[in-house]
Amino acid sequence: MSNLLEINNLSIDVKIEKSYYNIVNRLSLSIAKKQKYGIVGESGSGKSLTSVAIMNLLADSLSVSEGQILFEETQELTTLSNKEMMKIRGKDISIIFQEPMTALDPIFTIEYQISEVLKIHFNHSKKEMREMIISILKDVGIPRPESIMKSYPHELSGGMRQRVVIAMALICKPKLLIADEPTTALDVTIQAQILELMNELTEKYDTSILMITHDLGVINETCERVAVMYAGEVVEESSVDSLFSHPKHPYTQGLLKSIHTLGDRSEKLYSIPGNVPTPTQLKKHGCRFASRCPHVMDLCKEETPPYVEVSEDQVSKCWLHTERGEYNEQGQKASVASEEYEKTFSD
Amino acid sequence: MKQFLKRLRKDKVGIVGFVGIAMVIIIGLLAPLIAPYGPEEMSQTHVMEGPSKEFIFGTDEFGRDIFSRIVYGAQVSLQVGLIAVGIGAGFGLLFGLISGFFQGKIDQIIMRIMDVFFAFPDILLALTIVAVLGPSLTNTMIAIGIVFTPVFTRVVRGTVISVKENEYISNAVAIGVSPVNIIIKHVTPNIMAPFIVQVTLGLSGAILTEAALSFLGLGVQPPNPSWGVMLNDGRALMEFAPWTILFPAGAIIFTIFCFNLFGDSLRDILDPKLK
Repeated sequence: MSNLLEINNLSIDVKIEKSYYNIVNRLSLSIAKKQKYGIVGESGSGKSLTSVAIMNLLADSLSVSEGQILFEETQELTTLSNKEMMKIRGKDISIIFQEPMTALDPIFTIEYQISEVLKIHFNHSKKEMREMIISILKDVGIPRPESIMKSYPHELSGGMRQRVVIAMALICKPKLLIADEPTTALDVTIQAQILELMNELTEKYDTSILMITHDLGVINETCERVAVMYAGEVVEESSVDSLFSHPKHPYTQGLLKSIHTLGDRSEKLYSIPGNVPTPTQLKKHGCRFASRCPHVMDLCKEETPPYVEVSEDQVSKCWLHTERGEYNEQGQKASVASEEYEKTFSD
Repeated sequence: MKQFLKRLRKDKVGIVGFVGIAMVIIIGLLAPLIAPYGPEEMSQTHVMEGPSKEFIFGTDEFGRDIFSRIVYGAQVSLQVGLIAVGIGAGFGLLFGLISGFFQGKIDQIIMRIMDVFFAFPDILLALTIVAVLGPSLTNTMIAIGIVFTPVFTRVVRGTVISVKENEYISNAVAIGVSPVNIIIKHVTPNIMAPFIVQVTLGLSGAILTEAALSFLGLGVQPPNPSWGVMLNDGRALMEFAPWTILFPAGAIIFTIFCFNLFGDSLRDILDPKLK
């Protein structure tokens, strides 16, 4: 299967007062056709930036310093001009933002806003557009589309608006749908509906999904493969099943431990100590997670860990999986770490 | 729009302002029908007469009917107000949109120029421009328009910057709308509320500035009936014939008052936070 989107060694820098700080570091991932891919990470880990970079919409203070983003193996998105990019946006790649309350322009009707996408990319007659809009609104589960399309955004609830946003994103049958925390602002019951809807529709339209979220539950429900990001780096990349059954990177393990499950009556929730380092705090060498890692070794602070293929479909960026990690003075860390982890989970 | 009218109907102060403005506009438009005499028509037998049945606001030193001159003066005031604010608001909108939407260097350049204009007191700047262009009705309007541009630019720029942060703007970019279309279709309509309020308040400011310039002899030139010119004419006669100054001043105060009332109530009505 050929790859729809391939990101190779993508680095993004931010310019603060004339000096550059790295915020996304040598990120590589590839999304196959019809695949559902997830990026998960804390706030400030660079996941949203990655999506913005794919759309070529980086703010002026941000720049791609290295790497490429290949779309359909031929188009290099980072080098396309704004004009060429405008043809791709909304048609081949579309994006759903986090906040459905402000995602629609308050002064236009739903019909007008959806038709705007069609007007830009196709030459349909008014009647055709009307029919297309009605059918997509039906697809996203909006009752009475004929009357709803005449209403204004403030007349709809948050869940309905997010459905309209999804309709807007999917009406051109894009090849890739980027969903940047699409359910964060919705309440839990609606979240599940929206995720299910996205799953259904992307299958119907043969669209790949790039799901960006901080919620591992969302990843579990929608994705096939997942990349865990920390401080601008992918620390672990694997199939969703392997990630949940045997996470390898200490950060992923921490993330999974922090999930609160229903009926869990333990007094305190687990949390990873410390915060994601800010771009100015990052060092050139060493593991970026070292300051918060429970298994940190001296080696971690000096040398950047390599990506290690821990199993057939799982890559982790950690010294623990290497020989140098195991023969460290603290010895046998890797095995200890996963045993410890499995113990806490079987409890 | 329906909602807007409903809210306006509830706001009594706003209605007073609105009715007052409507009156001034109607008087201005129907001046030839309302005024009993021509604005420059002199009567040698009725010089400096106090208010009477024949001349309800009295006459001035040339025997001109003050009521008729005030009625015709409404035309001048409205004309100056609309055109000057049109110039100021038009340029202000253009500069504000460019400045707020693109930000960066162009924003810096535009806003620093506006700051320079801001540094002068309104009247002084208008005086200087009129002095350079030469006193006439047209030049007064141009001068007031230039003086008002920075205020509009600031208001528009500020609103654009806040509107731009909304996700529907990023959404529009993400579906492939070009920047120019985003400004025209998505940004401009969304900044209209504060802009319209500023226009209403600007109208009263422009009328006042015109009166002041005319009073100083650099605006509308006599014998054209401008309220400011009338004030200037009556200045010397104040002690003997107070009506020559009382009624034009009253007209100015009434008009400004109505515009401000209406502007204030518009601001309350259009404030999205109160919805």
